Amino acid sequence: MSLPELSYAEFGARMMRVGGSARVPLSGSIEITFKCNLRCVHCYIPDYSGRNEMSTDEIKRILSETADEGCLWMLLTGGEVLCRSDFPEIYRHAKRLGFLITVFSNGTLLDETIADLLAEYPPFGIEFTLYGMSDETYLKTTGFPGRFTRVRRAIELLLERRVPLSLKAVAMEPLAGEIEQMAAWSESLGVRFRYDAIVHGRLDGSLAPTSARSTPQTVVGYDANDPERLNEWLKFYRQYVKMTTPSTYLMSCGAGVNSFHVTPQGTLLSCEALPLNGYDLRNGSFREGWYGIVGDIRSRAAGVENVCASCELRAMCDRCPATAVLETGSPDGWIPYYCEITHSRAALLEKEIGHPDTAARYRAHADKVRAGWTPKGAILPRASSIGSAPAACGGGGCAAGGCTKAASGATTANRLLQIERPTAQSTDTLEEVA
Amino acid sequence: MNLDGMPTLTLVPSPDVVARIVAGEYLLVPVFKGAAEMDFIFTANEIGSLVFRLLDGRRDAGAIARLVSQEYDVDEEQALGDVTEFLRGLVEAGLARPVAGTEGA
Repeated sequence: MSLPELSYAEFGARMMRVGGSARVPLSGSIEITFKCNLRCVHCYIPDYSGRNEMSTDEIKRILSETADEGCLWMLLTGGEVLCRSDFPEIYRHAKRLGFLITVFSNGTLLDETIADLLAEYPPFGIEFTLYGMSDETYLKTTGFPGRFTRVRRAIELLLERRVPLSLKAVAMEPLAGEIEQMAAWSESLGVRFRYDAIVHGRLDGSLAPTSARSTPQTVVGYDANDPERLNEWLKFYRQYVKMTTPSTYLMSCGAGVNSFHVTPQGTLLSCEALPLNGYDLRNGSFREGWYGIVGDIRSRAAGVENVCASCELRAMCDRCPATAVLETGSPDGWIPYYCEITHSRAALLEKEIGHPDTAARYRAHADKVRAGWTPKGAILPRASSIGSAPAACGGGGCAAGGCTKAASGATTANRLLQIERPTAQSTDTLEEVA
Repeated sequence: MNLDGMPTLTLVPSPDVVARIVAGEYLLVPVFKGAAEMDFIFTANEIGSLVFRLLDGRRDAGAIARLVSQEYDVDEEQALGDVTEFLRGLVEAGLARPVAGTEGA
């Protein structure tokens, strides 16, 4: 008997159809620690000490509660998840709950024991972020020698065991010229590779990480010079961006609708970088938090100074309430870096589509922003030299959810059970690398 | 695995498959490599989920088909054919296995 199959994308869409309207927390992420063995130049984490982080039992309890509420896609991230010696216990527990688990790691601590664990209990996916294509580059970007050698070994261990690995990178200035090498190397290994250029401000309010950003011209150059990437952008642009209408709401993504994040300290948030409407899971249940204060963020109106709420390009902009908080201190803030990139990118796409006038309009806006123009009344980024301002943090993740209910009267065997192919998942390279 | 005797075999769910209901969808998620086809997620409809939940190592396909027939008011013979085929699919996918010896007693 061959079971009927449908694509993973269709499966996700089905889950979303029902889960979306019912506000089921289908997709979650948990930063199980802020500890990390690297010190990356662009990192948004201000404190690697691991102070006041959740215990093993607390994490396991929260995982169980999210499963009870219908979470299916779970991201375990950090910090560096392998800095926790209890990672195997947490991971096994999550697997036993039936999550489709993705693990984010820098790969430098992955040894044979962990590789064997992942082979035995395969994740939905594990993603390594690359910080260079040589030990020399890693020294510059992460502060430690020999790390690329370690990552290469870890990749070998996972590929030998057929663990579903993919690679990614942040296209920041110190990696100029190496992103293309990473893509070619990944292809030679037969693994998926994606990248973006998003570099946030730090969670404590410092803008130091943003000094590692590529210039807007470089970022849009990646799109222009990579036909596959350009096509993905065109597809996304046609499908979503052109439909954008002005909004009176603060939130511009799905955070808090079907996705959530839990910080290492146990705070439940709608998004990892948006410290608003947080809920302390150490003193309450996931259900209380999810259906309580966390969801309230969705009904919050955009402030009068939020010049982005009415922007027709906001669906493709990396400025969001979270990035705005990190960079301006306000979820309604405006970020010229992303504004310039977005309008430059839109100009590129409109030109490709064959709308030179619209392209020129977007190009002119991007040029104006680069020249120092600021929207009247907008909340602007802090000075880059600013020190620390307390900011809790939580987390996010995104996914899809929905459901189908097969006709209850049908007893045809091939409708009783069908299979979905996770390996056919979307290869969207435009999602955030983190 | 020889499945010729499927109508009379009694099955139990694989211990390394997690059955969940998410957003109204009945999912069978393999957890452990070797237990089931790890490259797949399995979904069952309402009747399929009922059949899966009835796998206790004691009921054979006939007993399960009778319950399905009563629950959904369908012809028992038709139900038996469908249930048998469904159970075969479960076993082939590694989601269930025949009980050994007195396991289901």
